[in-house]
Amino acid sequence: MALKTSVAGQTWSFADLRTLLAKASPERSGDHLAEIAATSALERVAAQHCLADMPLKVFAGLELMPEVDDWVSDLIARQLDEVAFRRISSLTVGELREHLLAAEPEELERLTYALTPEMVAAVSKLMRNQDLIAIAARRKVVKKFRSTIGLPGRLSARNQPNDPTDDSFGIAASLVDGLVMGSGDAVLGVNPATDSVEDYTRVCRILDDVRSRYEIATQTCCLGHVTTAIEAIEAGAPVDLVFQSIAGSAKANRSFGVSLEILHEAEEAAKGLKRGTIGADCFYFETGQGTELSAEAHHGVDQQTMECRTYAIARAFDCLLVNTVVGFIGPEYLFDGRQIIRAGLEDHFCGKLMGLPMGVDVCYTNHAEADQNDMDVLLTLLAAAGVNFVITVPGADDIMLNYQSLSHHDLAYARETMGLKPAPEFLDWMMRQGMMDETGMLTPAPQALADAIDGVEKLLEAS
Amino acid sequence: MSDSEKTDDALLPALVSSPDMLTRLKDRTDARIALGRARSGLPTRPNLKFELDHAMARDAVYSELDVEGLKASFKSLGFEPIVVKSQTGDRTNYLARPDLGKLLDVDDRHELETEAGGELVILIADGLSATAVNLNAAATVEALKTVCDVGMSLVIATGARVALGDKVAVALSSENVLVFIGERPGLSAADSLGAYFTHKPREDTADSERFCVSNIRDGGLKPQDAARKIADLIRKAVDRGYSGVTKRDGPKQIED
Repeated sequence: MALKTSVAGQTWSFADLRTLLAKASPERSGDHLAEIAATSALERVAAQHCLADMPLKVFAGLELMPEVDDWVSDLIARQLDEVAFRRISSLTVGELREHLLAAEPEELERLTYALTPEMVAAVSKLMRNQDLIAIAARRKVVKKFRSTIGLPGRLSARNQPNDPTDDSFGIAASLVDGLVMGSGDAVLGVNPATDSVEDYTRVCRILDDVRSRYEIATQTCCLGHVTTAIEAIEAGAPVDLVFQSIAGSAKANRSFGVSLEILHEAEEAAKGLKRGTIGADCFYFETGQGTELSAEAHHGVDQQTMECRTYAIARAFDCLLVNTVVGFIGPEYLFDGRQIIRAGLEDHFCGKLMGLPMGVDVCYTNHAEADQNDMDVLLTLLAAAGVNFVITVPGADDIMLNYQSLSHHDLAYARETMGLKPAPEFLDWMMRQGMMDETGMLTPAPQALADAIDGVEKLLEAS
Repeated sequence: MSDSEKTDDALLPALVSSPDMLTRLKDRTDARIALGRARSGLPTRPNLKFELDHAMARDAVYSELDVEGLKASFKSLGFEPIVVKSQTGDRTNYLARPDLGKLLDVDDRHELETEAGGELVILIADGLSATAVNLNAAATVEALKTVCDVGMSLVIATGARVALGDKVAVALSSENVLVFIGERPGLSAADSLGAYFTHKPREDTADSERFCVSNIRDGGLKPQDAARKIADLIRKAVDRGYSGVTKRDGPKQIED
């Protein structure tokens, strides 16, 4: 079909669907770096007009990059629910936007496998930030292991006690700092400094010791490579969740050392341990726009569409947690706070629409044009959009990965200001420890603790 | 007792309840723990401390090479520095287009092609923190000269990424290139210098084919210690005929 439209007295034509999708994308530096972005504001809007009139039928069974033999594309084709799709097959992309805006939660859930990643990416490109928030807020995805993540009125967090050398004490200290602030109901999760089975196992044991000794209603994860996890499980490591970074093309996943088979093997190994008490959702995935381009594996597809293709992999597994590490990749992909905020909302919306328990690492690096105020905005918008979880570190400073994520304080701010509670099982635990009241407010006890720590520090400074 | 055994103790209640442990808790990690809170908010002092650290990092990203000062320093060390630039233009474009930071300005490349680089070319590059270069590059090169006895030439580059060194070395027909470059500023340090050594660089050298020494600064790896490390790596690379790693340790090879 002809990819042509007439806008502002000019005729605009687009070589193929991936070109159209790229040109219709809200502006971001990564698409410029890939030299596929619209070259003017008018061309972008023209592409959006053209995209709005595209029938969804064009996307079903679509080969976005026909010259590439790619297992992610094959998986996407296998996932399409033809019966569910038939109900919406007469819609255009523009009409799908209106359908989603009007849809009740049940309808959004029914559409999960009627929509391919490319359809979801396409419709998101026609949406304002407000639309991304409004629709996502109605699409709840609830998952369970030892706690229930994603319920209405809840905001969970990964407590991320990273340490530059995986020092046991350093990890424990940061872990406790977050627990007293209510962070950790999504997972207690460490990015290890090395990828050895020995360190992986030691980190698992630290986290599991603290969790089991204090009977914390949550799960733990060492974010090593799946192959490391499989070896560690075989050697008896206490593994709750297995983790992997994934991307939207076979080539990009190969650069991560990932295949569909190895992911299935990891899921099976983790499930075999039967460590979940109220559920068995045991995979944790991280993603992020720009991953494919940085691996030179984007095949001319824009970074947001590639991100949606990644979600097709995640939804082939029983995952408890999926998050985009949205501002981590740097300004060559998402230049400033505005682009990071937009991408965070897109990723959350697209993931939820595709049925994923979506969280966001609200974050930035020092060479991006962003600051704490931008993170406040993104956190607040995501809380309004019903994000399943965010990631928090002491004082917003991850001393191992050298970037800024949210602080434990930011989590407390969002919960208190927007009336959101932690996961119910974790809230019970916090209340038993006297650290939170039944509304999810932090109690004065941790304040006293913090004062004591503060006082000790002042004494040291004075002496 | 080794670190790996410490969690066997009842760590959490001790950390939470005992002031002694709280002291140790804060002393033994660089993480910003135990900041206190005003309801859920961050108290003013730690908030301002964070803003201070971020401001230093931001200023470092936008800092400029003190080209004249560096030239004078390196002249006094016996070099005849040549100054070149990449194709990035301004700083904003440098941040958004890393690909252009790896390409030499065309006129500068032609000029380099008329020069001889000697056994080792040193490239002094601004990278993501010119501050780091202004503070640490001369001291590190001076220390290197005392522990590494090879013929060296020196080029100063603005708007540079690490891979610009490959292009400089090729233009100068040199077999070895050592790039000193400002690392991405962190909140704890905005003045870290990185060193990347490549033996037999090509236009398309992969990052895995380089040796790297990082965190060179007064509060990190001291210039003298860094110089010794770099000299060892240069000798190792020249002896075995390549720099970097041969095969990556880590995940098994995956077929798709």
